[in-house]
Amino acid sequence: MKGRKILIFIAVFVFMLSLCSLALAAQKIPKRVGWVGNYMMHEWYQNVQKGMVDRANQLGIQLEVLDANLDMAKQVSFAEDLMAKGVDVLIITPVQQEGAASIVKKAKMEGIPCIIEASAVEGMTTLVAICDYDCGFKGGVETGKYVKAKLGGKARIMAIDLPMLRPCILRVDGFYDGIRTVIPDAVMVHRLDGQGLKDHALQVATDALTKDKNVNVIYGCNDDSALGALQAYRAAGLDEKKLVVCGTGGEGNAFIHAMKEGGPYKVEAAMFPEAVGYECVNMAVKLFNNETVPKHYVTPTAALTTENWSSFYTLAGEKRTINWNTVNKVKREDKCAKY
Amino acid sequence: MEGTQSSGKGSLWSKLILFNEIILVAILVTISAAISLGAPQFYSTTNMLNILRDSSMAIIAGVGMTMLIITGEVDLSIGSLVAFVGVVTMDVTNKTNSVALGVLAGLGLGAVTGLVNGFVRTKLRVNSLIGTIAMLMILRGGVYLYSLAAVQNYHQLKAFFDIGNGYVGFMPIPVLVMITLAVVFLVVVNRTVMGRYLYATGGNYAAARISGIKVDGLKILTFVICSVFAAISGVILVSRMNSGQPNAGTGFELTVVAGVILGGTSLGGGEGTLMGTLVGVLILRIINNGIIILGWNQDLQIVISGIVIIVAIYVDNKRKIARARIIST
Repeated sequence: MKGRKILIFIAVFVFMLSLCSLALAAQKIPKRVGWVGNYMMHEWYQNVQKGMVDRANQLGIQLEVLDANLDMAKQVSFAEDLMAKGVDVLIITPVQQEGAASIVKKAKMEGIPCIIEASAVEGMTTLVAICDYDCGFKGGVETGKYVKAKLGGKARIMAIDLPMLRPCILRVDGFYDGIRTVIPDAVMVHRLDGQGLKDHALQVATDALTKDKNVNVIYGCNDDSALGALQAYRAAGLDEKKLVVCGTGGEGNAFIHAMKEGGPYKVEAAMFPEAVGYECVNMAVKLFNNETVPKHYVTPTAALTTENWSSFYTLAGEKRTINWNTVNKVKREDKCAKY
Repeated sequence: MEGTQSSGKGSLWSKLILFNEIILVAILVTISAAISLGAPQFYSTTNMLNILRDSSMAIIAGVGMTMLIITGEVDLSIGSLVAFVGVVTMDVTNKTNSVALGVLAGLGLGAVTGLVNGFVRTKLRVNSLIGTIAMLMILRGGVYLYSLAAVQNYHQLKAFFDIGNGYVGFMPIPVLVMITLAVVFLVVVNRTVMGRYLYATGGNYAAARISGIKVDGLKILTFVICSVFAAISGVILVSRMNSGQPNAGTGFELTVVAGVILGGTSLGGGEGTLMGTLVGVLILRIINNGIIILGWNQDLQIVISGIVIIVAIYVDNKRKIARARIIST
């Protein structure tokens, strides 16, 4: 009797598995997908590309990647080249949101599905991107918990921003709002423009610490900004045991090294660039199959700490590997709290 | 005083007019006084040392650039070179566990770059503005070919940290390096035949060549000096950042050239002083520092620096006319 039940269970399981395979097999896979990035030299986009290439290889998609290198005219030209070559789906990371609208329009005229990555463009079908505000918010909450547990419960923040870019403003705003859910009287002592670069962040943070060195929280709108400010803090001879640092992005391996050091870098508002690339390809398949897609597909973000980062990434030498099992379980927002 | 001709006139006003850097010193003092009124911590020892340490990289590169511009050339590749030197220095230090080898590798890259720039200018006869812009692109692309990602500091050697952050007594090490190189510049430019040849080459290339000066060799040498000094700045920067960043040094060449030109060195060649470069770079640095300490909008840094450059050069042009009148009477 028991044996018969097991046999029935196995049969049902195999049947269900077959149904799923059939469903997948029924979904058409695009042969060629083209991606015109805006600045492929940046570590963030190198990792987005890794995720994209991984998923494309899994699905047998031929992926062509071109770099506009911050030149809008070049991006338009590359996009037109890919459309002329007959790509099945186009992915664009806009150099400028306004300029990319012409690409979206042209792709629609050509009947080529177009995905926008990173920043919304007028007329787009879908955007694959993180929620910058929510990402910063998560970092702020985690940092606030650390400050409450280990640093006496008072937060005086030095934030290194990049006001030229709205996503960076949202990250810092989110961080500040997040930390204040744990420590309501947290104070923003300095909010500086580090231009997203480590050497500029080092310089402005050095000057700011001269004005007021009484900070115990450093937040960077990207990892370089956080690390540059940390170097300024160190050079000023201040006590690192009274400090916590939170970076944003996880674009490269720098944050992992900083966390492994055992110093004040304790929190990372991670944006999982590999997942962004991975989901872009998944979205390409959906669009190719004329499926209904959300206007903004939000990719996962999470606050990593020194305790849990290794469940999201492994680092062997300088080769980092994302743990898809863990990242895919991260709860995604349906839409952003702020745009 | 270097580059100054004494007219023998006794009045204080005449002496002030004949002091080439008087306008710049006056601007420096005025800006400093204004900032300290709004933010007393500007004049703290900590801030003064921070300003000097942070300015040291631009001043060191500025010393080399001053020598080069005196000969009538310019090098816009130093910003990209600073990034490449930083990455190479960090990478070699990591691989060899030796700070000395890392630093030598960085300086070697600087020397090779200077040699190439000099060769392109003197043998291929490519204008140095264009040739070094091309080198800027080669180096900026090259550093990403060398390493797409930032090169982290694996060994955390104390000696490496000390290069950019350490002290000898109360003096930050970068400031000590800056002073040493400034003394070298003063000796070479004011006390050696080479110094005379630099001004002669920049002042009148044809006449210098006809009079027997090996002008091409001299120019190649100054290109090498300029690049090696920029490489020294790169080594200091990588120590301060604790990693080699391929995107470092963005805009560095403009800061250095602006400081050198503000200091009175003529882009046409034949004119320039160390004191001018020192004060010019310090003015630009103090403006940036002061705006943050005062809590003003950081975008004002570029605006105010631009205004100060225009005012300083206008007033100094007036001073030069007055100086010429004094000398001729």
